[in-house]
Amino acid sequence: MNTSRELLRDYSDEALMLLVRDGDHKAFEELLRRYEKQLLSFFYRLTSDYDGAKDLVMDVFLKLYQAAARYEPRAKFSTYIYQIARNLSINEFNKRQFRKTSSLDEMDEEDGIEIAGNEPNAMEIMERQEKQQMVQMALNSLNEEQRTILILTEYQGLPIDRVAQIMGCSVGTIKSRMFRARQRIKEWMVEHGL
Amino acid sequence: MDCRIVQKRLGDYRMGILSEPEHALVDQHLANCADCRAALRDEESVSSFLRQTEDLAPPETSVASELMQKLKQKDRETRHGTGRDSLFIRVAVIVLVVVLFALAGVLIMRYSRDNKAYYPTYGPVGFTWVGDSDEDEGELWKSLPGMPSEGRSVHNIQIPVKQPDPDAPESNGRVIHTFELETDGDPADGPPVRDKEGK
Repeated sequence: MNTSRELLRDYSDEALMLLVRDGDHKAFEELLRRYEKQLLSFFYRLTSDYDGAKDLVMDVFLKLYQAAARYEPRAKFSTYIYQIARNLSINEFNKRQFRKTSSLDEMDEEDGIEIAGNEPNAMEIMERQEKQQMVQMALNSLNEEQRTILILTEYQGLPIDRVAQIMGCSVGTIKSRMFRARQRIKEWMVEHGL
Repeated sequence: MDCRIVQKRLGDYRMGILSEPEHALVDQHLANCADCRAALRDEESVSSFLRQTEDLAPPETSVASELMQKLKQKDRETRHGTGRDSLFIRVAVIVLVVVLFALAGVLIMRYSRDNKAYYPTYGPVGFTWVGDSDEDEGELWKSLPGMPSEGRSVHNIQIPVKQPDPDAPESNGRVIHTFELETDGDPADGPPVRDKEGK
């Protein structure tokens, strides 16, 4: 059974996932549409690898689909999907070291991904790409946990208690790791004259 | 509130998640402390730096179509059992059957061998000792596993030996000697006494 696309826009994430559990492919596509971009952003900031990030997004949704039959709405859906994403990122981190570029020269042209917006000036485009790369390098100076926590709070805008659920630790631990992560970013900025 | 406590709370203060009384205390401290105001500016500079990253442009081809194709493929494989999982199960079943057969064969062979091992020691009726000469009797007799000490029990046993004695009766190219041993006491203590002549 497939509910119409317009109707699905009004459904909550949890309700959509229950429809997926009952075999509704359109509901699954709607969830994909809602979370694809933010998961891509999450994985890209984590891995500095755009193609790798796309593969990881697909893996998240594949896992979601395979686990649909067992789904129970015990927590918010965003917590659930980020837990899947987090577990995959740990596996990926263990399989291959995330790139830790130490200078701008080491980042090649492929890392200059497309930035949304209308940019008439090539110079401005280059400047913005350079800023993007600087931030990515600063993030790469953190360990995997610190990086994940900072990305979830600063970029994905998740509250601390949700991040604690995703990471599987206490709110106090998240706050303390976040504090150290931000201190490390500050040190990196000073080292690079920012 | 001292500076160490305030600076630990600056992250929560920035995010607006302190309780009202705590927020007011931090506000009051910041109004009077230049060091903590500088620490707050540092916090804010980190946030501004991190927020420089633009939103990533969405991919040219969304992962959706690629993903839906992969899912359809997986559904097909599950239905027709051509997936890696069903192949693995079939191979595992075949290996298990082969292992069970091999194990059964080993057990059968071992059981048969064990039964044969008893023959030289306590054979059925009519066994005779086969050896090179009479002089060998004592040594060979002592070397037989499980045999009692001299003079206690009597058995007729037959053990094939390679070198034939032309003076002795032959059986399939082997010399046959017959020995009779006497049993003391209750026959239940050992095998029964058999005939002198053996086959």
